Amino acid sequence: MHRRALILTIAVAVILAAGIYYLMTLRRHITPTVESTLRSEQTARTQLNEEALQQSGGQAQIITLYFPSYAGGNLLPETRSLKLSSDNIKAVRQILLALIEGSHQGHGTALSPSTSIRAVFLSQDGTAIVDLSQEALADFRPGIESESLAVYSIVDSLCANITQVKEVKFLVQGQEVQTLDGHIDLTGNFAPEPSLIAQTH
Amino acid sequence: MKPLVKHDNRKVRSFRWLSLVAAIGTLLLSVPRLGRSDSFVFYFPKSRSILQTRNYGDAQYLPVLQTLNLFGTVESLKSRRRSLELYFNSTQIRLQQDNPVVRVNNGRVKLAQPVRFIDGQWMVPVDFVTTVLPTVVNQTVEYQRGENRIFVGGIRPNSFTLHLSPLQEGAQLTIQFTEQVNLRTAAQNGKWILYLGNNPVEPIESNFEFRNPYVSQVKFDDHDGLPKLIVTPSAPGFDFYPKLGEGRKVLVANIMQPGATVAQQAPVPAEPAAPTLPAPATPPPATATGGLTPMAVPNLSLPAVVLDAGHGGSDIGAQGKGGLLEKNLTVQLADQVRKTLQATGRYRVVLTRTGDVNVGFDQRAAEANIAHPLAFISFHAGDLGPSTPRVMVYSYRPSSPLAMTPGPDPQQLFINWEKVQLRFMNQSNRLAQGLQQDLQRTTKVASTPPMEAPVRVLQSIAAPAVAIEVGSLTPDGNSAALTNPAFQQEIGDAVVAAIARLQGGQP
Repeated sequence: MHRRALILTIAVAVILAAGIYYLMTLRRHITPTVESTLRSEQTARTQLNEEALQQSGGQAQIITLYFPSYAGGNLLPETRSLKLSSDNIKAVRQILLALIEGSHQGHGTALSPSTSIRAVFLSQDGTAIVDLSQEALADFRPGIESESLAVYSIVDSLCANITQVKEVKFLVQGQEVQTLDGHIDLTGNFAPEPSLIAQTH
Repeated sequence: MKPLVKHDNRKVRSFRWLSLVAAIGTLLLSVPRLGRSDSFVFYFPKSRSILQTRNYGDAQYLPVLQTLNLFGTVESLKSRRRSLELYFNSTQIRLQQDNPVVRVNNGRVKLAQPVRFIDGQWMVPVDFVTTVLPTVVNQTVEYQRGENRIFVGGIRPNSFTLHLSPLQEGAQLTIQFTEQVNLRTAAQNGKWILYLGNNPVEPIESNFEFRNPYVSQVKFDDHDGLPKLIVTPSAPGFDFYPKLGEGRKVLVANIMQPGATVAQQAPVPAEPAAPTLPAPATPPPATATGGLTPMAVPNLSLPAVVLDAGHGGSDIGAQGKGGLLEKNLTVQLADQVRKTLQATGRYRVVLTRTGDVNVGFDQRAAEANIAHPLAFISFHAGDLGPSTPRVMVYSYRPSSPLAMTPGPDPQQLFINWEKVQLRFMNQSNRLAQGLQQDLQRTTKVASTPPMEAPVRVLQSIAAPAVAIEVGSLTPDGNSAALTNPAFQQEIGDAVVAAIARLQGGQP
């Protein structure tokens, strides 16, 4: 009986050790697979965003997005043709998706491509409350200037294209955050800042 | 019988609890912990550099990228979640977190302790400098276990022996050096400091304790890269007469009762060829508790300037190529500006962060507001585009005009914490403009006008407040210009000029 228990224990230990070793070897193979899943997920999301951008009702109109120019320290306008929804909340979502999608002219991005929009609310006084996913805090270009440009890229783009939006309030994962990356105070509402937009001739 | 059984049960239960607590305690104690940081000096033939080490458990660790950067440039860097691969001098070095084995090209070197990733930095145990470094940098590296200094490139360090003998009304300290020294003396905190010149010193023993009525301790120290002996008198009020003789290799110092004549001792003949020997230095008037020099005691009647080194602790801020972290750069900048401000003798400097620790925004503001400062300056580094170096100056502006109503008068006991900077916006803007002009004059790289932004750290400051951002500090850019002492000095000069201008009330 005693001997059997011993054999059983050894057998279990051997199986466990083999299992752990197998998992360790697997881990090396798993990593690239995860990366490729992420990549395909990102592609899928972009496609989905593109569909959301184009399939909304209404007439196609020219909108202006403001993307950060980290080299120039200002915001660069970029126009797009978009069927902007007549529903303001959907329209806010469309503009945010277009910003997440990024510049077609190679300017900087305000939000990481993996950011998703959790919710959008519009208050009666014209404050768009934008609830972004945790990814909004990732991949930031560091510094006061960069953080300021990223925030105002969103605020200026929303306020310029949707007249009902006067100010923007940011939430991350449904919570108020002090800053995105340690510099710009995010606890208040943001009014647009046209002085950051690069002057075109 | 019953109560006895109960009693026994209680005993057993309490014993179980005790053993559980003891087991948890032992477990907690056995977990290696991050300890204090220390300075580690690298002596090169013509220069020296200082790095901060960290203690993890019993082992001392050095930041690997900063260490390699002292010897050259890291050519390429691939940092993964648990491993780091880099090329230095065409040598591939691979480190793996929690693994003592370092791969150098195709070879393996086993370090005394595993490699760690602490606070965003890859750290290697100190024996890395003798096991891996010499093969990678192709230079001789001398390091004595347990010491905080290494000698690179065949340097022959100075060393010394020390002897204390009694005199009639004092004591005589005789120090015999193996090489010539240049001597400079100073008095600080009731102690005498003998700076031994620029040549590195490797002491056989670092600490000498005496049971003598005149001298209690002589200690060797070079944690700031300056070799020196610190002489601690046993009581305050003695005079100190150091003299260098015998080809500048023997130092004789007499520690005397005040009023005792020096002529009655001083057996070492004066050496006329010792131009660096200053007049005898006496310690400052010391109090019963050891006393402080006037330099060490902040003069509270002077106006305060608060310097805020951004980020810190686990908040590393921006990261530059080669491992330069914003949290360390901001400390360097604040320190340089502190020195420049203090050198004027017109200001008292308050630092919101000393050391590598996390300090919250409100904690920084509280520290500043208690000092009622003339100005508050926060230091940051970040991505300011490809042209480097660049300097930007920021003052506070709320994110919405609706938040523009200032709070109550800040002179009142309770201030509106979130709105107090609104009262100082005009002064802050003036300070920012003046500072930008002065920076443009000194550094020639601050051509962009100052910006206004809802900078969080400035929001609750009850004083003219600005943030200075230097750049670019990014993983793909060259940030060497930002650590250049001349550049940092220029920033210090600009801050002094801007504060003087603010004080003078000029626009």
